Amino acid sequence: MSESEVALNDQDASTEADLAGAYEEDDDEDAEPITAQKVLEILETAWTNEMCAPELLQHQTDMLELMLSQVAHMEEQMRDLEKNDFRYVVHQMELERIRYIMTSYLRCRLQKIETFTQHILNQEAAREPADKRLSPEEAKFAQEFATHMDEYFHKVATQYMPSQQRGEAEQRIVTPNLMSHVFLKANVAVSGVIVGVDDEEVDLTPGSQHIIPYQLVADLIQKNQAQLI
Amino acid sequence: MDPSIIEFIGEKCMISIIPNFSNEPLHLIYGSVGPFRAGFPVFVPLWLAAHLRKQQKCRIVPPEWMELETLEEIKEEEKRSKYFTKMPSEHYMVVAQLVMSTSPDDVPRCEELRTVIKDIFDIRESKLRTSIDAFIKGEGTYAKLDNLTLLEIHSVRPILPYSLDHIARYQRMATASQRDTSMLGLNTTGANSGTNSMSNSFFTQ
Amino acid sequence: MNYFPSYYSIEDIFVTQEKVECKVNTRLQRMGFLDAGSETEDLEPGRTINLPLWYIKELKVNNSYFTIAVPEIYKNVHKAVCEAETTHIELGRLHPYFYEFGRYLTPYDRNHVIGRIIFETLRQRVRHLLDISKNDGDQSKPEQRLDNIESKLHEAGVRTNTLYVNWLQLRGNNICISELVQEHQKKRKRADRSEDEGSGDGGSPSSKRITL
Repeated sequence: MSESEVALNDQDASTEADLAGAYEEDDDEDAEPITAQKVLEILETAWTNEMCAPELLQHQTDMLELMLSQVAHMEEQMRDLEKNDFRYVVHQMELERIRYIMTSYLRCRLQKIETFTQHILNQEAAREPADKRLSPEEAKFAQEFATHMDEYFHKVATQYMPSQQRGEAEQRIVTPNLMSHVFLKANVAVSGVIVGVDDEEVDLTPGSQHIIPYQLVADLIQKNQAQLI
Repeated sequence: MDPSIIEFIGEKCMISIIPNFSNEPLHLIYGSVGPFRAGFPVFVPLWLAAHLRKQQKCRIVPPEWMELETLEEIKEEEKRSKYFTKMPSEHYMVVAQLVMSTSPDDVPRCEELRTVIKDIFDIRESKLRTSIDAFIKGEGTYAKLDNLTLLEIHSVRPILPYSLDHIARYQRMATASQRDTSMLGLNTTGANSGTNSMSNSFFTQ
Repeated sequence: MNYFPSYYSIEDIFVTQEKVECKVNTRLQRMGFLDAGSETEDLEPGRTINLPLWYIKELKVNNSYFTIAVPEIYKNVHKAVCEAETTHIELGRLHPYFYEFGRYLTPYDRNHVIGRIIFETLRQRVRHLLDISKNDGDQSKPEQRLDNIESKLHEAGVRTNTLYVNWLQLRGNNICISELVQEHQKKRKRADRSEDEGSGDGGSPSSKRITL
């Protein structure tokens, strides 16, 4: 009992080190150690952004992997606790909440991938490796999904149609409405945001909230200067 | 984002409890909580507070604002103000709902509080509807919604953004195919929308 | 997700099935079959025929074959739109796809009326939509009052309201059984009962099971 207690109390320090190590590849020398708490915050924001944005946003594979290893680490620490131990129950509840965020986030992305498959694949093909929005797994899924859909359509319909009709692939691409209105909250002060078709400009103050077409603020979300709510 | 998700997000709010047990601090991923000492208040996330209360392991200390006089003042201020006033908690409805349903005994004059909080929400919601009306009549594509809480936003989601999407689509179509609207005499935003809002609000109230 | 026309949206297919009235501008050889009332092989200039929107929308606005006539429905609401009295109009009765049909026809309207009409009509009716979805119940036959786009908005609004009310109440009176589950349970009970009646093995143990 006392051993596991130590382990649980100890873990903050150890995971911080782990996380810093894992994050280093991105920021080379001056990698600041990222705390599990910070990773969770990033994931929560990514989750709400993804739920509210009409298009698929940047994937968060790094953060997801960090969090998954953190969850695994936590479960490892909890292994020796009694199932009805106060600490076990509370940690378990928190892990359930985190798992919910991650699965809801991934499910939301899958939904978009299934809806806009070809559109997303076309966009991905034009993007630099660093700007890819699909994780490698999602890219594989999207590709397979597109292939299966094409095969299915061919089998049940298009093969019986005149060849002219088969060439409608372009027309069949489903695209999101990027001018969809979204609710936005500014994280920092942003000046000169164009908010209308007539190039009308507005300065956003930190914490201010707005309803606005997504496309006009997509870059602010990408840069984390604002988030969707 | 339906109410259950908004509740989930709101459950992260910290709230004070008085535990009837003692325990070392817990190092949650979200941050550490505790130490718990029987009889001494400690801040924990709302989800944990609700759980412990259900297990009869603590008493919830209602937040300062959850008090009749304060809330009556907020309500009056909300009535007076043209804009949305800042609420004491950005999840005031969720906090109130969770605290009052899990531990009505910990909250003095619980039923009265419930009514005032509901009143505040209703005042804000109808204010939101009125300002939406003005906003749409004003032909804007963008509006500021400071201090509105998630659950209040929920009351017009998705119908408001969806409506605006369609309006914008039709507007784009109309302007793309012509610039001169004088034919209809509808391009005046000032005079016309004035009469619009009058007849409309008369109709809907 | 909000309605946004795409290749696969059934509504878009329905809208583009709608017929549009056009005037023939030049003699169209051997196209007489398009006009049910015509007895000539060619389609003569000056005739009026109905063509489906899916064909029309592929034509250039200034094509030399047909002039598209603005449907009466849009002219009819013109006055109401100008006077901002559109909330009482039974839009669904006028046309089930009032807005989307109008959107397709907008570029073909040389007087630029349709585009402005559909835009203004929706703009004026949103407040009303918000109100009726909040206080549903007494609204009779929304399918007549609302067009397709509006019905979807209305449904979304009603759903929001239901979710909110349920959320408020769930806390007070615990989680209640969903309609689906309730129906299922009823069915199972009924099935159990008929099974018992059919099996005829004395009845007493199974009847006990029902009362349990």
